[in-house]
Amino acid sequence: MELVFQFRKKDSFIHRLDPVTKTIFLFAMSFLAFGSFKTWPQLVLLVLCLVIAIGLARLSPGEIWRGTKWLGLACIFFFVVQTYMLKVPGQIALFSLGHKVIYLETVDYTTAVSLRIYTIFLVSFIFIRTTHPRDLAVGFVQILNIPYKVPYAFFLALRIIPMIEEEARCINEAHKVRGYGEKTGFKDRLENIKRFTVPLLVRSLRDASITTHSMESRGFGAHPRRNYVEQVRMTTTGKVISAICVLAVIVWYVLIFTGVIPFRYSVQ
Amino acid sequence: MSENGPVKGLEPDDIIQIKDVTFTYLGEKKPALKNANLTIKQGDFVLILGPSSAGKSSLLNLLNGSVPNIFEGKMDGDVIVDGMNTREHDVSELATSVGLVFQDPESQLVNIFIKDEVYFGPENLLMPIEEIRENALQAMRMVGLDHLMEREVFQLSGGQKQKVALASVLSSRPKVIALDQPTANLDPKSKVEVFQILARLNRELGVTVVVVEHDVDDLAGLINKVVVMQDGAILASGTPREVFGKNFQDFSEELGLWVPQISEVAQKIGHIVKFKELPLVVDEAVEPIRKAIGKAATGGYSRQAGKRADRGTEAGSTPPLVEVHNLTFTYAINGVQALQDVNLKVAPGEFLAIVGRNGSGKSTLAKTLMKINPVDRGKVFIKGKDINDLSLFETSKTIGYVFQNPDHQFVADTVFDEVAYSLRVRGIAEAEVQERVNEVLDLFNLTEYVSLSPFALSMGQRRLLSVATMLVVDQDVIILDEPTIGQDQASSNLLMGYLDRLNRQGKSMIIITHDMRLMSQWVERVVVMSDSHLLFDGQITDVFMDPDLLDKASLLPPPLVVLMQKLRETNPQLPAMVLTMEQFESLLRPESC
Repeated sequence: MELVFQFRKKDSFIHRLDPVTKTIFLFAMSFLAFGSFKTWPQLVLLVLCLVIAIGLARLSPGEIWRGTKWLGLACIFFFVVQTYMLKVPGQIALFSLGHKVIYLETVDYTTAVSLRIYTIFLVSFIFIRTTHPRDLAVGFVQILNIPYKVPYAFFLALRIIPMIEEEARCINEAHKVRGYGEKTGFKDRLENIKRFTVPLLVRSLRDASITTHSMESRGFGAHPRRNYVEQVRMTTTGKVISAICVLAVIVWYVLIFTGVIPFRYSVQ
Repeated sequence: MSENGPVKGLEPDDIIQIKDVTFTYLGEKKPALKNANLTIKQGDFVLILGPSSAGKSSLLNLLNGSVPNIFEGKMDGDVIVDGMNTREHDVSELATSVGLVFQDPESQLVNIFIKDEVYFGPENLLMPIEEIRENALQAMRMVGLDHLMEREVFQLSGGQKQKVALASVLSSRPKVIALDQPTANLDPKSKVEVFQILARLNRELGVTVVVVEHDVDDLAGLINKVVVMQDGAILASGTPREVFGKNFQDFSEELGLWVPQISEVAQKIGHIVKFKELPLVVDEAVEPIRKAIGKAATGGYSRQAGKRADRGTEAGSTPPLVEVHNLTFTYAINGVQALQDVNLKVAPGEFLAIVGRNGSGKSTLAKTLMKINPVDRGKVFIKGKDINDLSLFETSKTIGYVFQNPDHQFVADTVFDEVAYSLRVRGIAEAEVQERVNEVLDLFNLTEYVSLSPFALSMGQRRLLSVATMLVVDQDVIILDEPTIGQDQASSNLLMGYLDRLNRQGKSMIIITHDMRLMSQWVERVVVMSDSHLLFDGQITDVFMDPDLLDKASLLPPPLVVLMQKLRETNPQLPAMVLTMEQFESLLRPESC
């Protein structure tokens, strides 16, 4: 069974991009989304993200829906509640709900915030669906020259977390067979947690110790750098996209700070 | 010859020399190694044997400098490996000389892709890229998995993971490979495959292999040196024939080590059959025994030969304790169908084994009987009651489940409270608790440890304690998952002896095991699983006589059974199956003929 929120191998333009470019794209879209409390820029960003997701990352609409539906529904809920609850008065009244007047400025603001949350989530979804964690870690070492021990800490977390989960499951099952959990008073619950945590901790430390022992005995840490058979490089396309992303963020914020584009409706 | 020049006292082909090493781990009082002296030559294939806590793993960790560089402590003496004193070189510097493979492949594989795993060592050692590719491919070819280079580690079976772990060490081209119980978790066929790979490495590439294992039968014909340890000291070292021949009784009976079953046969029938030298494998024993049988056998064989004492199973006479109808189970977390249309009945007093390749559904079936797993489709009845109408706690009144790792089950601070917990949680009066706990602890020889923490016991004792916590409740069925894994012969026989006694008192025993030798000694009925299906349910003799079934389930008959099959090739009058040493010996007695 495939998880919705994990890498899926495909041959697409976005899949082929190096992970550093995709990271820059992720941050650029997030900065742009944070750079406005008005609806139209958020709509433009959302449409752009959807075009990229479907057209360039070859994610199907169904896939996008499955991956983002719960957050989408949360955004709608957020929009409704915020629109009704927001106390800041606007100037252009749209309609009334009982004694509550709903202003255009309020709707614009809450729409923008809701769309922003969804857009940032969507762009993160595109990133995760198209970037293998291993390429991300190796890419950062090879392209950005970060120390190679950092991505291996990340790998270890990826490897150890499922092992700890499996260990926890085994201990839980074994304790249930013994009748643990039958007593449900507060003191008993505390005792249960202690009984569960100690063996889990001991086993996890033991596994981690074997892993590091195995790494060291295969020469890990012997030299300040290491070789890589699989090369992750930033292509010219990647460099151009990264430059466009950085430029777009700079231009957008310059336009906002110089007042050419209003940050939001000015509410009196 | 060493790259670092000749070392005083070393012969040119000595690759490892351990000189007067005594080592005590930091914070410990008792030394893990005591005055150890050992020389290993380039191209040796060495088996290290010893009971639990003998210092076997510590000895392995000496070889690549993990002791004392990673595992700190006080060390006297020196270890010279490939011309380097391990005190003066880091573990990573010794990586091209010694590669270390551990028991659990899950913990030693660190990468996501298999190819990254085999590139890992040479990449760390800054080997040229083309050389890394070549080494990695060759290492993967050596273990027969070169077609899986692009796969992710989690997609592999347990046996494949262990082979990848081996390849990941081989790719750095070490001169010595040291392995700590590398096949403990593998099914019989995967185990033999790993040993065959080691033999090829040793034979074709001249790699020195040092392996800690309890299973000697599959290694006996491959090794040229055995080292026996006890309490941190090296008791004996030499060729297998020298070591097992001179000290057979001491090692087999007093130390409780596993010795080759064929050597055991030879010792047992030594007064009838004369062997020129101690046989280690089946082929070495066939001819002398064949000649002896030829001389002795003039008529038919005893009807008793090939039959074991009846346990008095109540199958058929009383309703089954456990009934499984068309059971199908799929793991929700990954969608893997682990059981498909399984049918099974367990009668009171039965002793049955569930066997099959890694991942075939054995533990899933056992856990479903215990209600740890829910029943997806089909029906499970415990004493006639639908398991869906019972809670896990209620099921545990009839069935006890001993997990593979006993540590998982411990919930109390002392051995006494651990056993007592099973009764107290069921609301039994304290006076009765005291009485029943003392009785069970006495049965398992654990009385002297009542006030110790369960974690302070040895592995064998912890296993016994985990069984005791189940037996004290007086369940009708006990399920044990790999009860003898990684244990020496003495501990295994002790535990199996207890189970046998309880079985004869009427309790039903279900063991999940990969140990065919143990199974042939103690079990009568076998359930064979393969790819989530129950392939076979019947007598153990029928399993060993069905080559297709053995192949599908990744099983191999024990040496005694193979010996009997070979003897029957020229003497079809012999019984079709012999499972125990006593049965075999009775074949050669004059009265049998």
